[in-house]
Amino acid sequence: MLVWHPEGADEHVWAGLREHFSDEQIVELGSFVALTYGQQSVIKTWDVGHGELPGHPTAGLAPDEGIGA
Amino acid sequence: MRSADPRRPPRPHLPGTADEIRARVPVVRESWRYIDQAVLRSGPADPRIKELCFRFLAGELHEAELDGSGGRERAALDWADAIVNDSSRADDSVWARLHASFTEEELVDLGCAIGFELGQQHWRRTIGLPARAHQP
Repeated sequence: MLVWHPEGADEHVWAGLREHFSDEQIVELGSFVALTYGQQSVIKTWDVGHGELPGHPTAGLAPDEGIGA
Repeated sequence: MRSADPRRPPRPHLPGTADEIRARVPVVRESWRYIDQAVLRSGPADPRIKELCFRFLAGELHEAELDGSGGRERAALDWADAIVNDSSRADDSVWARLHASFTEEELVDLGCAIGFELGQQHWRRTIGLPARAHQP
């Protein structure tokens, strides 16, 4: 939701979040997703793949064989 | 998926300003304050061009405002468009214009600033806050 349709995070979505997380956890999780989404969006325009940054073997996009592949 | 009722003004799902909400987790607030001061509000890239890109992300920028703007602004906005909408749009032509207009240091600063601001604006919108603190 944060990535594709932020305004879609309606009462239903927030009720689901509160069922599983405290407000503090929601703030931390949301910030983590925001940072990751923003920086991965930039890295994609560098055309850098997972493990392709020298010295940073886990940097870059998730590997193709990851979740959902 | 439920859609928001356009007749209802957005109601924040957490009370307070963005900074007050982040303050619930001090390390989150401090991290964003550092990003804000070190990257969003300063750094080697031209702050005017950063602001232009931030307004583009928020949907505040109108084409007419770009009349007479130079190649630097156009290149930066084309990059911001690729970052937001489709990374394949950052093709060799866009990168040639970026390299002609900015140093590599400026490109790192500008690109990371766009990324931080993009994530921040989306986060704010999920909470029911406006994309930016100061709306036009």
